[in-house]
Amino acid sequence: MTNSETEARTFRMHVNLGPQHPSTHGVLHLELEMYGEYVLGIDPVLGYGHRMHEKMAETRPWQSFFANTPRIDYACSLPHSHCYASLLEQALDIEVPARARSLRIITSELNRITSHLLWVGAFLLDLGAFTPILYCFDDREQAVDILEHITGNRLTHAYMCAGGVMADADDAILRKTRKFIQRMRGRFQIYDRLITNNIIFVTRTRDIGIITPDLARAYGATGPVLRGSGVPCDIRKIAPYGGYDDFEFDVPLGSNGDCLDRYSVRLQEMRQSLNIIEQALDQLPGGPVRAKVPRKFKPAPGHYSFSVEGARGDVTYWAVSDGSEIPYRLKIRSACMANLSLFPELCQGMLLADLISTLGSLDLVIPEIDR
Amino acid sequence: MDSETTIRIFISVVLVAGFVFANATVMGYLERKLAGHFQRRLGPMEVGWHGILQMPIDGIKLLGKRMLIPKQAEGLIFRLAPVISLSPVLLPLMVIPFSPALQVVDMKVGLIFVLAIEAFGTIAVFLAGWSSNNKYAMMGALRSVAQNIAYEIPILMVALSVALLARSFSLREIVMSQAALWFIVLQPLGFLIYMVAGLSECNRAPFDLPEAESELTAGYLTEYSGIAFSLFMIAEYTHMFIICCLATVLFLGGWQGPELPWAEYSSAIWFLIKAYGLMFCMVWVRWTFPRVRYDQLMNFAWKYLIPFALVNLFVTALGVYIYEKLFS
Amino acid sequence: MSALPDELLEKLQACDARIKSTNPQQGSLLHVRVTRTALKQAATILRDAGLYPVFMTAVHTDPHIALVYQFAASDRPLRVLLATTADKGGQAPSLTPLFPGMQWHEREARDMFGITFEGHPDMRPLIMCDEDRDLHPLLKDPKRLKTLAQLKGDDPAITDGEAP
Repeated sequence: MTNSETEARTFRMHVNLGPQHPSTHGVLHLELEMYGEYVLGIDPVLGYGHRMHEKMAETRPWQSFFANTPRIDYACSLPHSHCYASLLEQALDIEVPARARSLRIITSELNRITSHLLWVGAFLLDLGAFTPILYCFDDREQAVDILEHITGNRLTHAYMCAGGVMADADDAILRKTRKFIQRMRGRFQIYDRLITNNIIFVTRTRDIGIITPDLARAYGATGPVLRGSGVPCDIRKIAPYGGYDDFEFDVPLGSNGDCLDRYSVRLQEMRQSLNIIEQALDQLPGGPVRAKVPRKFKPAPGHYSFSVEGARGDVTYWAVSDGSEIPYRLKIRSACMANLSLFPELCQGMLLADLISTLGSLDLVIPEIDR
Repeated sequence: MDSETTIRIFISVVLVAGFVFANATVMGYLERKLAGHFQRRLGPMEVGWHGILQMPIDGIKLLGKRMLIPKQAEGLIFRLAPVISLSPVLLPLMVIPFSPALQVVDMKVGLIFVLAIEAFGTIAVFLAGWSSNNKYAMMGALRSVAQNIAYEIPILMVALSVALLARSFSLREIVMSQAALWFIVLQPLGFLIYMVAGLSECNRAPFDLPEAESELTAGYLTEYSGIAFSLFMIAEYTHMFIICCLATVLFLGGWQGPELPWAEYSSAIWFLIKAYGLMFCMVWVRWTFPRVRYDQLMNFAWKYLIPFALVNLFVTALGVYIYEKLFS
Repeated sequence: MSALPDELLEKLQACDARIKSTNPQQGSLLHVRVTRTALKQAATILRDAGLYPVFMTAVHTDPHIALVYQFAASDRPLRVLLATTADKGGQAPSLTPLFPGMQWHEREARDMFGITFEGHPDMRPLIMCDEDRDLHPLLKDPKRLKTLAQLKGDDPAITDGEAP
């Protein structure tokens, strides 16, 4: 054996990151080919969280699937339910009452805030800071309490249904929501002092894992991953749904496409969500929260599609109906799948620590990929 | 050596060993309580008043656990590594002067002795990682060896600067020469360099890559359980304690402080207050900052700390030379 | 960079496509049906127009499996649904060379339906484990199988069971 061959054999390592690992959020199995600290190749192995939601949709009535939609992406579950409900309303030509639309938006934006707070804490935990996650969970607890009061559940909120929402929110909880908005606005300076202005955090995230807009678009990556690279693509602005065009909010953008940009984008998005919730509370109309819907759903034969902006990107549901009360095919497009598929190309030749940073900055919920 | 000295040394060794375990208990409890309060929660509260019995109970629990040894691990080295990690942290405590009367042995080259023995800890970490037959553990061990070697150099240079100021390597004499002015006033840069490099020597955050939980699942400690794990933890806390004691001796005037009755023994209280104050700062830093990346860590040592320590040494030497010329 | 729906329509007509344009709640949605041979040409037009791949999936119909691709524009409310069918043996051309993002969607389609894609760089199972690689769970029971005609509704882009 020549010198370089011996060297290659000694220093190349095949390391398994996961599926049980503190840093891969969910059950992600990455097979790494490493040369010392450098990652030469990545092969994600998926399927550990596969629960066959699409098959379940083909075996039960249309409205029973609302039990499945929150469990697909459990960290930000309301946009998934919103998407499926809007798809059914489009297919059956049902009009949603105004109060239900506003409540849907309020709860979806609160859910976006809880999802981003969870991500900030987990991202910093990956980088080795053990304290921010507890501060984030403190804030998250307030939001989750409000959501529990309104929807009945802390994580997998089964709140939306075709035609509106399941239950109304009383004035007390809406006053509590206003207080939460005031409190949360004051908390951002804590996060800035502890995290954003911390030089160790900045050196670990600036210019790391740069995703160019072309790379993101080629793989279909959306959400903060695409917006961190400077592309202003937000379905709430481009193709507004459910009443989002009644509210004013900005779409934060990054410039570089590195991990720091994706972090800043998510932090700013939380602020914008607070603005949306405040406007929705100010303009909240009265009235019923659920329209009259037929007992059995039998959409006309054909195919229907609806897309929403989840916390992680473009969530699209595509359904084929054969006229019966059971769907013929339901396709759930998960945002994380596209976001993760650019990871092998992105991380060739990176250091392991940078790989962990970049993986964390993608904000993955693996069961959404596996469905 | 007469029998009186032998008995005295024997008793002192036993007391020091006992102190090591007591320190680990206290530090473990303090770390968990402080971590809790820094994170807006309370820490251990169940066992005893405000959780004060948590560490002894944890120790008993760990003693009772079975030590699992992986089949492919190097049996002898695997079992020896925790013991080897404990030895180099017991010896330096023999020469550290807690108070004028509380020092086991005063060696003329005490400073060099402490720094030399501390370096052995690196071997224990490496043996632990290598004998585990686990890729994660080995990566943790490799990182730790490179890190420890790099960060020892600034410590040595700063210690040399202090020895120049005190004109001696004996720890007792270093403390006594600070009677007029503590060396932290003359060596502020040296103190900073020492504390940062000391954090890295102990493998504490933000330099805790060898045990990076989120990347390597406990690094070189991955395969250890039960009593071996607790021995490593005790070794780590004692190493922290030695770093802080050395800082107190070199920069903060050792046992010097306001006069107390039985000053020969009771000035150890001032010593311990200073040392534990520095330990509190170490715990504080751990729970605040994220981890530094590996190559940034090595860059920081070789490109920043070592040049600064060299400059510090040079300026100190120049200062001492000029002082000698002017005043002698 | 993104072509208006009309420009896209013109270019796609050149691929011998059947197109229907609708305006649901969310802007314009083009349903485009192409033959299998024109699939890559149509996809190239969409890629040059700057659309990103949303999903690729399949529907088990009688007699051939239908393939569906959706693309979206990132700066205007435009979505394009591209439909075609696999051939008798379940073969189809792969769009991975054009859109790297299609790689995982095609692997998943193979897992669920057993379609093989010509030109795909890496046809391993994505979601199914190795023992279940030939399970193909989303294939329908023959009793429940429908033809394209039964599923088309009023969408002229879906034709009656033609094998293109």
